[in-house]
Amino acid sequence: MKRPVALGEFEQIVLLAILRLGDEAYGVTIREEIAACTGREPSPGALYTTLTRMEEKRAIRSWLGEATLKRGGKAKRHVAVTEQGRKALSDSQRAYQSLLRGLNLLGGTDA
Amino acid sequence: MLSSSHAEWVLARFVGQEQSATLIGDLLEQRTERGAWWFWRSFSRLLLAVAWRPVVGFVAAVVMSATAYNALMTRIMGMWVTTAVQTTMLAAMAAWFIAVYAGVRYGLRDVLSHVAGVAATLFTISVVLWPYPMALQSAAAVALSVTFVFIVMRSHRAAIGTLLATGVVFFAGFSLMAYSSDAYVRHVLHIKHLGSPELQQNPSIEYVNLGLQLFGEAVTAIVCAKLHRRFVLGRDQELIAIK
Repeated sequence: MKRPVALGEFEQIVLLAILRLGDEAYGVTIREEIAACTGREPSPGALYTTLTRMEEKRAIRSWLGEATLKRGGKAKRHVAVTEQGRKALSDSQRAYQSLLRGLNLLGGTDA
Repeated sequence: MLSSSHAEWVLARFVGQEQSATLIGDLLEQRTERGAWWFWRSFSRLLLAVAWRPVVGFVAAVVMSATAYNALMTRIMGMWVTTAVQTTMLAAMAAWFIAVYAGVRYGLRDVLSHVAGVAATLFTISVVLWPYPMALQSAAAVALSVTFVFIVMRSHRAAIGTLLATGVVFFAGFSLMAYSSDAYVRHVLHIKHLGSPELQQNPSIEYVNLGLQLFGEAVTAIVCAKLHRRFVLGRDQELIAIK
């Protein structure tokens, strides 16, 4: 039996950013998306180690994309969320939602 | 003057050529907007993030393998040391080296860490129990059972292969070290019989031995990392499949 994938907070942020970016998800755009949505720009090292770890957990998959002059002729590594990653993310988010229920933290009507 | 190609080369030592190229490409893409200072600061942080585990793992593995060697040498002192005991002792050293390196680099949950840790424990117990044939036979039976279980478990097969191949490299490195050290003593220093007085008069022998040993262990660590990446993680095949 496969063990369910456990996700940390930053891993969830990265997965959400990848899902928002769709086909355009790679190192630079993921960092920009996280910075735009959370106001905190992750370091390249933190992002790389998280992406590597999530690929080992099979939560994401990656493939080489096009090389551009701006990148010194080096290819982009595109990433996409796998079915397993999507399920792990929805499980984590469901747990957050359960914990939020009954609290008026977001100022909505969910209180 | 350092350039991005130097940065890529250094990074490739830890993450592989392909990953290194894409990571430097990401930094280069943003360098035009953020400047050279940002590029090198980000590169340093990236290098620190990817290099600390291999470096600390290597140092810890060297220390552990030397500790195992000294402890086992003390244990077998005064015993009738056969080639089989020496080989088992070397196997224990190799297994401890790989177990500690994999444990630090890939984490304690990694299958190679498990397999190498079990092998190291069994080899060590075998050397310790060598004077007691009954106990030694029991240890051998346990070792065979564990090996069989690991072979049956599909997830552990690649780790066993990686452990065996890396162990062979460790043995080869150790043999080469012994041969080169002997050649240095005989043909460079022209010493025919090496004893304590000769060792005291020629401290370079210790340095040469240490250098050769570290070289052999560095090669072992590199081979271990490459095989782990290819067979245990299976990342290269996956990338090819996606392409």
